[in-house]
Amino acid sequence: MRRDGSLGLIIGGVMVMLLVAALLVSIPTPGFAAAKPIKMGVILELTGPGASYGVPAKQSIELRLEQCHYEIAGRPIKVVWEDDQTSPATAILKAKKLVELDKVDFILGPIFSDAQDSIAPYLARQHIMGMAPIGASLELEKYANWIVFPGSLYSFGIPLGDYAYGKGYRTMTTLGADYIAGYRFVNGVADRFKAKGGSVIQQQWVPYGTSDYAPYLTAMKKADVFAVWTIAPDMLTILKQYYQLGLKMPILIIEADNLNSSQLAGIGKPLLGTKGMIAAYTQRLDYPANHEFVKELKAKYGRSPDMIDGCAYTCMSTYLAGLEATKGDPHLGVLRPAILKLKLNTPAGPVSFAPSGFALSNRYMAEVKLIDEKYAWDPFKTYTKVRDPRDKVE
Amino acid sequence: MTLNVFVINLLNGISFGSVLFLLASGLSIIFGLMGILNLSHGALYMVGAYVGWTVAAKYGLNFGLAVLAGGLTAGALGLFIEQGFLRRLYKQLNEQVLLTFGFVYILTNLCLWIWGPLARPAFTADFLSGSFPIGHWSYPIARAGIIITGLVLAVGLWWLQNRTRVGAIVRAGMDDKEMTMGLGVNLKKVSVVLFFVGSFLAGFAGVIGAQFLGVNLEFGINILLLALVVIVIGGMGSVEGTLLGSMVIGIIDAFGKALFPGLAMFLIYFVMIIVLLVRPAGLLGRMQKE
Repeated sequence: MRRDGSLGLIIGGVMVMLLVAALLVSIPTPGFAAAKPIKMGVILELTGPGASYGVPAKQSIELRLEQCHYEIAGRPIKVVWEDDQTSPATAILKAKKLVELDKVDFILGPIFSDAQDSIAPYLARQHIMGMAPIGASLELEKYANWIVFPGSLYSFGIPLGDYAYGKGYRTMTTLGADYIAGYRFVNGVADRFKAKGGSVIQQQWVPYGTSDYAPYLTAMKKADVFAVWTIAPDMLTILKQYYQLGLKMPILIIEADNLNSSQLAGIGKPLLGTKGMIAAYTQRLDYPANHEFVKELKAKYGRSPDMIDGCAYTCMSTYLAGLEATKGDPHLGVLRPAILKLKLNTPAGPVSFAPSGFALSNRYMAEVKLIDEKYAWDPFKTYTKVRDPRDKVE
Repeated sequence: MTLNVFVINLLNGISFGSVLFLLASGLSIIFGLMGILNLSHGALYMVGAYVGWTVAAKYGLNFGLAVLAGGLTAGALGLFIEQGFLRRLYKQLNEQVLLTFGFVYILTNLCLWIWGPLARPAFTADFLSGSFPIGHWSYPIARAGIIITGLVLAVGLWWLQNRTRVGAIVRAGMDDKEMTMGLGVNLKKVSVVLFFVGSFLAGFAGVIGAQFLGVNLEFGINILLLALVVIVIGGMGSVEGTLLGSMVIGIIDAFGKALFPGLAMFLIYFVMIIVLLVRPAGLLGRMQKE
């Protein structure tokens, strides 16, 4: 055979093989068409006063997604992140963008309750499921499209009211942030305390972002106990100035898990023995799922998890468990009922859901202690399946 | 209100006012002499506070060193903003406002990137960390120290402005820039030095204020607003005016929160409105000739 004839055969053969391969790749198979990505929108406070919540929340959500390789029930998960700049007005703009431009299937976040309330009516009209990672006001239950972990804001402090009365306190003064979360957190404690027979002699409401709390602290009336809640940056200022002014009333910190170990260390010795209500999560919870979570977060980010980490991770785990149960169907009418039936063992403890969509989860009374030379919240009493008494949806 | 509580609130007001004075004095001088409204001044305060926290709280070094580091960092950043950007926008007030406000976001995000989103608790030198009794209350020594610092600086700046040649040049430049330059004074050089000094004071104020306010990312805007109110009330370009304005704001803030907590935020701006209506140049301001 002449050489040029052989060469032509070889070239022709290769071209035919390439053509066949191209045809094979381009023909869609039934399995390939079904792997359409699930699109998840996440709105978090990545800048502004809420950045101390939003930034670690993002890290924990990413950790959970990496653990499942961004895939569930055979479908890839595509995440669109948005920053609401800790502004309800920006949150609604971002929600509209996620739904109308990005066509997401559901939305996780925002964290702040005023932003949640701003986007709730819109999501309801669009039949998009929302998920609140660190509590929400009970008013969201009327939209019937939310899942809220670890429960309503009001429910965070209810056991604390029980605890305060049980300790023998009979009068209370409170200080709370002057917006919806502050009112819910503080009144959860105050209302339960009053229901037991105690008396709330003063309530102060202060806008978050206030620079100097000393005037409010000097205006406090003398009571058996002082219950306080505001966002973490302001809580540090309050506690520091409280001790600087030599005030001696016992303090009960609502949502104590708001303050992490390094922040507790910044206040230091005066805080030892202070009691608080862990609303959802602390790294010292003794559950196998938590030991694993603490190990993985430390390995990835070189730090121990805080409340925000535990809540965001649990939230993401709940979503994934729901999608597993629906075999990857993210639509509101399918996914939400599936989640409501779940009973999960999470880093935050056992979690199930009331028909309203609000989680039934544990709260923990805790005390500040020095453990292994680090300041930490040490849980000493567990309240199980705490539910907002106003949640009547069945 | 008992006498003890009155005294404590008065001290609260004066100490907070002292921090505002440290911050606003730089802003007032810069605007008074150079006509530049540097809205990134609050962000420089924040950067100074973070740098001070790093030196004193994170690495446990001397508090004086932290104050110096905070001031120098803010001063250097201020100089960078002025030399790199603001000098090209002479007499363009709208552009200056937009540019410097943009730097608020840039510096805030820089701090978020470097120090993370968590707020830092208040920190102070060991020898200032105790308290002294006022009746059955305690009062932190750190806040008393802030009052003394503010007073010393006020006297120092007043002396500089009213009793030195440099001060005379600055006052002349505020009153009539063209005439001052016509007399052979290199006002550009003076302005650059003053911009550095003003920015240094912002960072210095950040570390001093962190002793009871802590450090967080919201200072860029929140503290700036108060500094602007101080300047409006006290008047531009006057040390005495800035001191008066800052004390008025500090004391109204303290007593307002203690007595009328629901109205506290409004009271400060109400006073500002009254001053603007009655004396637009501020209580002790100097009006620059056009």
